[in-house]
Amino acid sequence: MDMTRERKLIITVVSVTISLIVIFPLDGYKYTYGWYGELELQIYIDDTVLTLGLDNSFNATYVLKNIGKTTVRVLPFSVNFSPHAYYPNGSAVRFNGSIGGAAIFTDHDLIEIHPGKKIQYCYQFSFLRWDFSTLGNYSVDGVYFSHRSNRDSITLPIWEGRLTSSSADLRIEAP
Amino acid sequence: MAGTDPTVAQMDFDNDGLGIATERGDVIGAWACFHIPDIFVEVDWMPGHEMSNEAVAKVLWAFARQGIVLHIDRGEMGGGNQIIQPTTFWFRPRAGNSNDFYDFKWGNGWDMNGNNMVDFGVDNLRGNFSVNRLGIFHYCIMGQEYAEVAGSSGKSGGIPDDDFFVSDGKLKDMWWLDYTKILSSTFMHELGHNLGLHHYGNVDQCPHAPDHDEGAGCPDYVSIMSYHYQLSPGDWPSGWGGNPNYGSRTGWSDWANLNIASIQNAPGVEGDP
Repeated sequence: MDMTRERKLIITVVSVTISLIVIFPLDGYKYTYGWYGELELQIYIDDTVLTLGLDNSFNATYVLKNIGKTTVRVLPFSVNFSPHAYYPNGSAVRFNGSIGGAAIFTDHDLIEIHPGKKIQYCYQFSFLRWDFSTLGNYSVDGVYFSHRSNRDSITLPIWEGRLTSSSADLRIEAP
Repeated sequence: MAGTDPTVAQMDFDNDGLGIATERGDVIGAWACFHIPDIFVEVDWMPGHEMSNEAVAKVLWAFARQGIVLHIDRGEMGGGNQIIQPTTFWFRPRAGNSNDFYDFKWGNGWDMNGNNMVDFGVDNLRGNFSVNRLGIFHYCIMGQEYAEVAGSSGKSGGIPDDDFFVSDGKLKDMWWLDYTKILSSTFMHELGHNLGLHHYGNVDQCPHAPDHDEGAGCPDYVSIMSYHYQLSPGDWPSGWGGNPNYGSRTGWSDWANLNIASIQNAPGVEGDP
């Protein structure tokens, strides 16, 4: 192999490598972001029949699952999640608790969810904070939303969008 | 006479939840105004997280412009002081000593047993908040962060409530913003929850969003109760005079919606689930 052919080979290999890097960025190619259908949010509650005056809370577990084929980076549930409950007539249950103040995220806070994997978040619906004082059937769900804001210092691509969970039913009965 | 008649002593001319006996200093050793609403806040801080004079001035001035006297006690009234820095700090009550908000407020005797807050009767006297101030003072701790909510800049015990935490350390990480402004606006944001305001003011839902989309904010709600305006001082309207503001939505001002008197029913010990 003379020097000219060797140089051509090197130039070709370098060019192909650079082209691949440009076409498939080293960090981002295996991730999706801004794609709505890759995640699903399910809710599970630990008690479906509660007694007014005796029970004072129930627990809900929200499971965020990657149902796509690529790894997804997401923001933690943190303040990006809002639990909901609805009275028997469909109106929203009054809530007098609070969630955290505005959050400031960095790359360190991001969570990777690989295909088929999931993360979960547990939330306690306390009757001190949620008005479950009416007898009857209720439904609960939750909304997970992930938006990059200008106050964050995130440099990596993330999934952005909004997911409403499945719904779970429960009943409040008289003692 | 107000000095002998308990009925008169309990009268609250300015609807701030504080009776005359309290406002003339019988209980807390400090005078307040009979005819102008007063709000008292005791502020403790972890090492390196003391509320600056500049931030205090901004918050006091924001309230003063609305005819409300805010008293921030960083020790000036005998309350606020520096507390220790725990390895991990939780807002909600958690088993163990000196690791949650209520350990510092009431002492290590208050803790969780399952889902219930229990007074174990140990070490209560070593708390930083005097029981004589319950129902009069809000209680605030400033520190690096709290463990329950990643990245969060603060936390109120509820809406309304008497307890709140400011993640001063998280604010310092935002080196590209005016620290004094975002510290003062975050302090007012959490105090606003204590005084009954939600993220959309006196309602808990943005009229333009079907859900509590807290991250996105409500675009026409110009108030530091909105996530956007809490931490985007560059977008504050010039009418705010450079200070944080509870602002308004068309048709009303949230300053008129503050539930200042809610302090008289302060829960005192429960953490927000």
